Amino acid sequence: MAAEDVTAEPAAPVSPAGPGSGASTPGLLTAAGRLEPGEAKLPVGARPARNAVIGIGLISYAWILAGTAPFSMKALLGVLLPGAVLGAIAYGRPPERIPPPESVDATGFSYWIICVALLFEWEASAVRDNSPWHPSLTDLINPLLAPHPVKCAAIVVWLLAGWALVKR
Amino acid sequence: MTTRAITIVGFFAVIAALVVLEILGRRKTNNIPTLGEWLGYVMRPRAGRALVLLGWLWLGWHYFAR
Repeated sequence: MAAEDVTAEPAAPVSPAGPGSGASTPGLLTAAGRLEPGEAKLPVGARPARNAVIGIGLISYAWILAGTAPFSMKALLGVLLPGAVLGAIAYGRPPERIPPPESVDATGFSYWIICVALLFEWEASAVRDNSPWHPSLTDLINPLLAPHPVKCAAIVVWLLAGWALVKR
Repeated sequence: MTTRAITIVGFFAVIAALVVLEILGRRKTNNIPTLGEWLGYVMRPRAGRALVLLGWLWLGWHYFAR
């Protein structure tokens, strides 16, 4: 099969000050994380105190969320809150985004789709069987997440993944 | 080999394949996109972005709230 590119219409230029703002100077940030003309973007790690505060805040939040009882309202709200915050940031005040590719190779992309479909199929068959002899991924992962520090670390990874998605 | 072991090996195999694809994508000697690249491509339309963020939220709910 010949490799073909999956193309789409070109994306609108990403404005660092958000959609409709009119500002389009890439690489410059205001104090609130926005870009401003004349202000150079600081490299990652240039604000160690701010990064440390954010890191401590994330870990503290994850630690508290990891300690909530399953199926409780606190646990539900603890998951929904970062979702709401990231959703608001993604649509209301998007940060400077990593430009997406104009196209991806169809063959290369299909390998990913095949693997993801296989994962879903394997999971679906396990869920349907609902037997200890055919455990689902959730059944396998939940015991690993049982220790509080491990669950806390997993939540931190989940939060960082959410931020990485917003940056895309 | 028990059915349980086969199931676990199956999960490992698929997850290992995903990791291999990511490594191959980062090498740039082929046309395989990285996870970030194809997710970025899928998130170009607003609906794609919403679906991916909903998937992320569902993962958090599934593993951390229940």
